[in-house]
Amino acid sequence: MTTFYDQLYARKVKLWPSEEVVAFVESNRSRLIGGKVLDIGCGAGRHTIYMARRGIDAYGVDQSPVAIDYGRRWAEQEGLRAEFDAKDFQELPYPDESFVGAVAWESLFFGSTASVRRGIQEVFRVLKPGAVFFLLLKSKDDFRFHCFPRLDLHCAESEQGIPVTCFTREEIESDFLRRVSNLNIETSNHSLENGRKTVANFIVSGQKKS
Amino acid sequence: MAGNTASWEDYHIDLERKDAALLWPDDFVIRFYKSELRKIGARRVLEIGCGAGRHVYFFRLMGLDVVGTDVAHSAIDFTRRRLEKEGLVDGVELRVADATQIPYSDDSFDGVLAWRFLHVLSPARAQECVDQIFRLLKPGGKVLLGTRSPRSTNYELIRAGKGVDVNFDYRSGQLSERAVQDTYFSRKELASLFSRFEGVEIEHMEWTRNNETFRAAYWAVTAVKPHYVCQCRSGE
Repeated sequence: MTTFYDQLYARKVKLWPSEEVVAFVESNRSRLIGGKVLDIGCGAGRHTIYMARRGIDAYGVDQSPVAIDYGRRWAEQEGLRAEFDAKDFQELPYPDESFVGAVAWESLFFGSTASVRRGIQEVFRVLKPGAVFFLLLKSKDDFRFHCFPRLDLHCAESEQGIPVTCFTREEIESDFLRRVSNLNIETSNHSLENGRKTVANFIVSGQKKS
Repeated sequence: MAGNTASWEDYHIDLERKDAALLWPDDFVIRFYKSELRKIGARRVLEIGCGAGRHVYFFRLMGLDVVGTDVAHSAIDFTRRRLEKEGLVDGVELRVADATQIPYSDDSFDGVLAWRFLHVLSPARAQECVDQIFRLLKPGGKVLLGTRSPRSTNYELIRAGKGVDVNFDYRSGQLSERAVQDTYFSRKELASLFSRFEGVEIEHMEWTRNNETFRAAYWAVTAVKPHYVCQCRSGE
């Protein structure tokens, strides 16, 4: 069965990395070069490839085998060394404390409340103590949370029937503070359709407590 | 205005000391290329206020012919050196020019980008700049323009009489928020700047830094130059 994601990446669009992720990678580059870095929900691999180009030992994981295939071929074409694994973020195929850094861009909110919480647990499981992370989480100010049917208190059923799990700043703080030092939560919002809808995200970064 | 130009010169000299790998195109500009310029089969585009040239570089990589202008010599020099390093100078023209006096003839471009500098012009010069864009676009051509919105922290500081935050710097070599001479438009005022265009869409974007203590906020206007222009507007 082909999923929505398989169809998306079958279009073979080479996506540009987000400038936010580029800024994170560059400002932490010396630290990231010392070990493996994970790109969670890597899709076609735009950030995995970017990190590999910058000399980082990059790992991309995504639930879509089509996306992962695309990423592998892209790395091969560019002669880059990057690992790709087709797995859901709820069960990351890596041992505990494997990575010095993790990025999840536009990915770690697709899923039920339980699966997103499990995904965040998984991120912390695979990070080494002291590792840095950069996660985009969905805010409850997002139009999807207001315009689509709610599945529970935190989750709405969005386009293509995909659940989207949303947070408030306080919810992120209560979940992250006990396991993170230097917690940084930023908002990043933009409108769509001539200002009629708002896309609202939190960008959460910090270091796993030692 | 001379003082402003001098500070932009310093700015690009500062920037060149940092890593050029950081000068990545804006996500919104990438979307404008994919969903607007590519759709109309754009071949020749202009970026006014190209700064360190991240979008000149991006458009050229996408195979477009590009003209980049900036008020600062150092910006144009920086962009030229970067394109030379990447082997992308062919098909690119770079010029020092004021944003209201772009030396190209009418109907020259399929697309114009004026990204996040309009707020440094006075309201009257901002209108001149938008009129200039109208003149330079081919009928059916598209513009993307970004300018600061009143939700910016800088606007709140100015209103509170605290002046502009001249020392603010993004992490990791992103564009500095070295405020020069800020003009803030409301959505309505911005729409009126673009009254000769059609298909005007105004989006808002904002993001915070330093644990939400600083907010950057911008309008992004996309608009089309109409194929037929009514000559009798003033009599409406």
